[in-house]
Amino acid sequence: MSDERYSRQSFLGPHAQESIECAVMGIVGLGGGGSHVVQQLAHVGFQQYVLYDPDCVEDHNLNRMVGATEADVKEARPKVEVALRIIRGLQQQALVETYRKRWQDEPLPLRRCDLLFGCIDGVGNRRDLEAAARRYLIPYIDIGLDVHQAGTEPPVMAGQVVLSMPGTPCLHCLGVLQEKALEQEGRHYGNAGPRPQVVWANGVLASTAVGIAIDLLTDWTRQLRPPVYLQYFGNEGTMQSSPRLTFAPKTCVHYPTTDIGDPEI
Amino acid sequence: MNTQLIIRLAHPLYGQVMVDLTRPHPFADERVSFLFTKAGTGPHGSILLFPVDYLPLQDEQYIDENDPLVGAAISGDALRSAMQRVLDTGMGALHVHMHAHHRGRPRFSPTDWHDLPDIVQSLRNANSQLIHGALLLSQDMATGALWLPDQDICKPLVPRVSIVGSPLRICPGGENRER
Repeated sequence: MSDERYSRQSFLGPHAQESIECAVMGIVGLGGGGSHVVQQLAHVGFQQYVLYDPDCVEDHNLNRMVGATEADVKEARPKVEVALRIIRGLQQQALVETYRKRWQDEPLPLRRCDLLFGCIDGVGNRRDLEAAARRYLIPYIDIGLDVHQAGTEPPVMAGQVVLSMPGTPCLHCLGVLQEKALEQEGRHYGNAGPRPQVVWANGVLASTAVGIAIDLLTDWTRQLRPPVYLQYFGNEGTMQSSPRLTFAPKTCVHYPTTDIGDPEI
Repeated sequence: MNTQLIIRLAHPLYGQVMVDLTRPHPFADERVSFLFTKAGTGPHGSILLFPVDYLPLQDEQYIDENDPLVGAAISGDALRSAMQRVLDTGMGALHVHMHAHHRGRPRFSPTDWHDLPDIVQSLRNANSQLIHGALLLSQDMATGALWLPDQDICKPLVPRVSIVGSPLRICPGGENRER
């Protein structure tokens, strides 16, 4: 790789590119959020990827899925192939493992990842992915976006980016995952229809998540100290640290750091 | 992707190890200790090891060999305490020491490569079905050497080692050593 390509990001540190190139990045979900994440990681210079998504590109993805085209819809191209195409366009030599399936159906490749991005819908899915990340000591970055509408008020767009590190407060501790929501999802309570998603908000959240990952790997700011819980307010266009961090326990009570490795039967 | 050996050390335990290993000793130039690991299954036969338990050594478990090539020599009692922990817990053991003046990826010294097989053989005597080895720390990174249960004692494997904290430190593995 030419030094020139990364000269504009040399402020990350003398060994930053080395750290970036040796990290194995896992991305679960390659739609609105995950497609941005993949694209940015490839630009930054990551060379090793593990990608999961069971779906093919559909027409309703084109409003936000970076890199997807009308031809992909016509050919019902798997999202993992679109992601692979994006990476190959920037990093021909990258090692990319693609899994056109749910990660739960082939979990072993996920475990070799150094860092995981969860770009998935549903609270149950996110609970399961964080649990796997905790068990195999993998830092997990969760992004989520939602749009709520109440009465005649304008819709409210809000989201979050959370860095969940082993030992520090988890999504349960931070109130991102709540029992009530998990129960409701389990009972298919309330059919809200398709989840509203838009490209610009997905882009903000994905960019923030990638920024956290780069900081974690290079320590360029020397001030990233987990947990990180950033709340996005789409109507105002602001991102701020969540007040829930103040009330979270210092250490995670849901995933003890001794409860790691393969489950013992 | 090939079969890999991966050691992931959580930052809280790493911090505990660093504090212990950087304490001065009355006569030894450095300190050593043992970590005990749980295992995880990875893809394509890969194995992940997670240190979860730590055994610091007491001052009196060092011996004064007066050899300038040896930073620290430990007594038979120290090794027996590590072997006992292997027997009690059913966990593999890693001999741990630090090259305190080095930053970046550390390298085992010729003395390390000479001494480690004997230590690993002792750990195997406690339980030969487990993976044992060594972890070497620098000021900010770590590398390792592992012996699978059926591994030739002269051919350790070099695992990928991560210190899982902020920053996230990753030391690639691979360059296996043949003594």
